[in-house]
Amino acid sequence: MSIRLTDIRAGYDAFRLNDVSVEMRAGMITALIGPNGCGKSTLLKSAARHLDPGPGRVEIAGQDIARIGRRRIARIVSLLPQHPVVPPAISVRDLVAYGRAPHQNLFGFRSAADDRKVDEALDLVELDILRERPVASLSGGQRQRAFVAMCVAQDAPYMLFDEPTSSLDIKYQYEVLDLLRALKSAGKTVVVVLHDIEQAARYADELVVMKDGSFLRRGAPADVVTREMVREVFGIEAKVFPDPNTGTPLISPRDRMSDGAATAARPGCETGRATETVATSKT
Amino acid sequence: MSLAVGRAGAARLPLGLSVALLLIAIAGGALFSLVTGGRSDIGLAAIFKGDATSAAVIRDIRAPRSLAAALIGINLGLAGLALQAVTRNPLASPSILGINQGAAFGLALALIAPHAVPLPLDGMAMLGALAAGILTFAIAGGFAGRIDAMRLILGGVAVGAFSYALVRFAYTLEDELARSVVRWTVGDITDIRWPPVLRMAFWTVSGVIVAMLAAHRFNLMAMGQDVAKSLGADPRVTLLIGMLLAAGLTGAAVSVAGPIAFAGLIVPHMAKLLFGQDHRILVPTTALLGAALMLVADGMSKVVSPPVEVPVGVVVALIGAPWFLLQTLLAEDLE
Repeated sequence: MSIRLTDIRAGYDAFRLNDVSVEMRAGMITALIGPNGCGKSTLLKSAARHLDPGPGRVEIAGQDIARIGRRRIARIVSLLPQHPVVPPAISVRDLVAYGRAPHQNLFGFRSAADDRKVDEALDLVELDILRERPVASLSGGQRQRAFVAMCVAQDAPYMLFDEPTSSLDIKYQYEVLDLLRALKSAGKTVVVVLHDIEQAARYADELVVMKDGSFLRRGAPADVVTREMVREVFGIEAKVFPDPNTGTPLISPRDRMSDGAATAARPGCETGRATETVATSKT
Repeated sequence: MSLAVGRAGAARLPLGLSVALLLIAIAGGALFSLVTGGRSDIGLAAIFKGDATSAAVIRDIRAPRSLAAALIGINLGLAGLALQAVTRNPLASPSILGINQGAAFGLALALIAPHAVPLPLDGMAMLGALAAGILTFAIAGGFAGRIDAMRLILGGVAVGAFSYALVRFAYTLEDELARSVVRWTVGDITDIRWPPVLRMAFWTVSGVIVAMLAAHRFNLMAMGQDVAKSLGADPRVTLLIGMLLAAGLTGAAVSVAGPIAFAGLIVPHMAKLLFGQDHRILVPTTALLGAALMLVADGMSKVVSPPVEVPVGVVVALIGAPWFLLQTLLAEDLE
């Protein structure tokens, strides 16, 4: 009962994965980390068959998903893309209700069961009081929670998220990460691409490290996030030490000393590639 | 590029009232279109008086023409709605994407060389519409999975200009041939009779059914290609359905009335302003609104400068262009 990827060669013209084989275990949060352009998003998208895995295979819970239709895949695995489009004039409730699409008939009319799932999802992300509000009028953090609720309503046992914290303020980043943890407690298998290694180490049960389109390592955060890995994969000399609160690894780059605010030396507020944000964000 | 209309939460008329207004507009438009005509002495009242001439005029000349106008409005409105949905581009419409002009070119080919082409007039118009649509979408990158908004519009304008240049080239041919090409492609429904109207009604009804079946897919497409895919609706399939629908409906309309611009662009926007963004509601309301607009335009085309009739396409543009400009200026976030 896991997501098992074998020899994945998905990619675009300029970039391909190098036959990546990796397993993401059921009931856990697995975080994919690595430098920009290492292929972590590409791997995530192939796991939901948004991209063709080439000669490779994607098995979810033992089932080869190349053999099943898109609607059935959508009942098994959900994927929240990095910068989802906000359609014009849509309310929070209607957005979340779209998550029910794979379970509905051709016309997408909601059943009582659909309404219940939507309400549950809204409760989980604590947006029930904003349900009638237009999504476009929400703050960045609320908006992201609405999209998470859409995935929750989709009710797939395997839930994938592509950098769900990018371009959010730090408070909202942790809000979203706490939601992922709540999903795990509810029995979901969560796979998430994260930019921040420390957040990944703090929230994930297992980390998958990638570099240059290849799979490098998989394991528990404390085993994976080491001085050597940070140097080898991210190219910085850093001290790695346990977080006094959680015991998970923190990274303090060595050579750029500035009164303790060492983490500021990370690549910064990278927001990633925005391919489909055609200005619908402010409608 | 988002022409934001019908924002959720903004004051909008209750659905029942909007539908009632729409039905009144259709009835009024139909009446207007039926009572006006070359013989101003012939009105609906004449039928009830048992005047055989009047009854014949209404039955054989005005009724098919009014119905044709309504069907053209439905076709172009739905074609525009489908194109705007699958491209997620508010400027998409049969004329801007070159589909209208492609249909006219197909029609011209059928007129010039009826024995060399494989299909009858309306079939050739649809084929031309489809070819133009495929070309424009290919230029925009639609079949690779990502439609570039700018390339879509530029591609459409280029394909449209090229197709229409070929149509206009036909004007220079031998007189008799040129006259029939002009007559078919200028946007005129004055002397239409029942058989072509009934043939068109078949296509319109088919198109409405397909559009209803695709309405929820169109809604999912509004969430972007990635989310649509996650929710189990393959965007490429949606794109294909939208394009076939638009090509079929546009081809059928053009084969009857020539390429009428603007209706396909503005009718969906009017419907979105009145009825919101749910395509399950937009499909029927866009169809009704398109019919109402064309009926009014047809009526006006007969009364603007009697006894000469203004082609209905001209009237539509005269109504549509200012309205579109107004909406553009009032849109809150034209980016």
